[in-house]
Amino acid sequence: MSADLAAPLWLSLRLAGMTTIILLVLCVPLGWLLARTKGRWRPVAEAFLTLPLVLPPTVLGFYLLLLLGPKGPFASLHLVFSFWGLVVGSVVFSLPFVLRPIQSAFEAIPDSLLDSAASLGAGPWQRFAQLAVPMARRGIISAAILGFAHTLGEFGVVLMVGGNIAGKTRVLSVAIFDAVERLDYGTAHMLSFGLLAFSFAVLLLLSLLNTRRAVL
Amino acid sequence: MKAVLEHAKGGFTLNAKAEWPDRGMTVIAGPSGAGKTSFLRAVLGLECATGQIEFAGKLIQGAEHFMPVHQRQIAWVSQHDDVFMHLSVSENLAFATRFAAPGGPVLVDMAERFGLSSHLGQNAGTLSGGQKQRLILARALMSHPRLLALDEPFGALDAEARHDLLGLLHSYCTAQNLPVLFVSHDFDTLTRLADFMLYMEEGRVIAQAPLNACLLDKSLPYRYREEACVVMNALVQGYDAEHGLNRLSIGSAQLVVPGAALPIGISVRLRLRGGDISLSRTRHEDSSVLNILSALVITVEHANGQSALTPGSVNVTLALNGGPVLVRITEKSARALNLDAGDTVYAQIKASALVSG
Repeated sequence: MSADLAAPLWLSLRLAGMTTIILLVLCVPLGWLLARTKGRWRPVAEAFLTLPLVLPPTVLGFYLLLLLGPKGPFASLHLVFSFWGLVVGSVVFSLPFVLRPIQSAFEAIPDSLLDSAASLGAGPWQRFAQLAVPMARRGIISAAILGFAHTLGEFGVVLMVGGNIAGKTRVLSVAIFDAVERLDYGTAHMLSFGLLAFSFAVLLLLSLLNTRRAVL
Repeated sequence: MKAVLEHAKGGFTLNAKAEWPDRGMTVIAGPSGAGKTSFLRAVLGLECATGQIEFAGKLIQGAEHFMPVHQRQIAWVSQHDDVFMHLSVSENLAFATRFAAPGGPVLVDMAERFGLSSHLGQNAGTLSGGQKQRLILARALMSHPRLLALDEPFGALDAEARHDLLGLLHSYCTAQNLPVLFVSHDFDTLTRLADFMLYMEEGRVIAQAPLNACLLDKSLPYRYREEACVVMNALVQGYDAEHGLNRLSIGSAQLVVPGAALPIGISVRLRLRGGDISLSRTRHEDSSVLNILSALVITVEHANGQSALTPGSVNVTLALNGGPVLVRITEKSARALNLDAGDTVYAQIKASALVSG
């Protein structure tokens, strides 16, 4: 594989991996909180956290650019046009894809089961860590796969926040766009087909996970 | 235990004040919608009711203090199949041990007692309904609780399986001196198990007394039911192998009950149904009834317009060896016998239902 192909691929994988890890750390507690609280602010929080699902990536990218840019409140972090800027953008962009499955997995655990565990002496943290997380593990794995695949395929936010700097912010999807612009259809084909095959494999894996309950 | 609890939830108001013994089996009974489960959940700390709960001389809930569920050491068995489906049978049991106070039961012994020994490695989700109920009860006991709280125990099981499990529960809790507080509107279950009753209506505890007192209480429905009964503890004296009869004693009175031989010296619970007892003025030696005991008539309650008693029926309360016994006869018989309080009669007890060992 030429360096031209390898660099964007490696960057995309690194970005997707880092994003997935951060999202898991964020969304497992957040999903638990949303699933278990019946507060008045819950619908507001849910709507807000679902926004990235419906907004055009350019809108997200635009606001992130304003926030992170040289005149924004987070300018001192120098995130624009850097790898970590991409990570921030991807985390925001893929958040609902990771949060939703985790939240529904937690919501599927009956209240009476957690109440029983409490009556056996398990405190709030123990119920979360020793009961809820192991019970929701299938949902958490699905969420991780979905988040990884979704980050791999993003384009708009990445372009807005990261631009198109070879080896630094030129991820797979941007490289495809770039190749098409240059009328280099051969490269575009290779990258596109690779992404297509990978995405299909991921979705197949997900559906296998959901049907073959005994596997995990 | 003592509880004064107030709680409003979705149009229902719990306003309960109750006191019951720290030992033995206490049933929370009453019609559906009376707030029995809410009361039990409030005692557990699963509902954030306001008020006070005193347990073994200590305040576990007060005006300024709300001990969370996991610190109360009250193990809960809900109406649902709350097995941890992602764990094996032995992992389910071990989960409870993790948080248990030291000196609790040993896992393999508990599994043995509840017939789970051969399923220890099996995934809990694959157990049958009856096995799941056994597992949930065994798991609750593994947490080494100070009180066991059960909501409609084993209601989903058939009568035979339920009786077996109630028997196991009773013998374990009696041996370990573990008090039980349970919700039941099933007459069979509560007369089998309970020593004390809290009777609830519309969110309030309207009666709290030893079981027999409640079964005889004129403001409660039990004495007017078709299967009205009282319970009595009897001592096993011996076995008549020729006739297949257990010889029992209640105080100085002797009774025989058919069935398999019971261990001599143990105490068993008898359920004396009002409809299984007939009365006579003289002792009939030529009757098919084996148990004939002399007793004193305490009250005679006739069916009238206001009474919940079926028309044509009479409830006679007897003092039989100190304990009260309810007898259901017809108005016609009562007139023929000319029964009145203070009379001495012979009670002929047909088939006494033996309940628990």
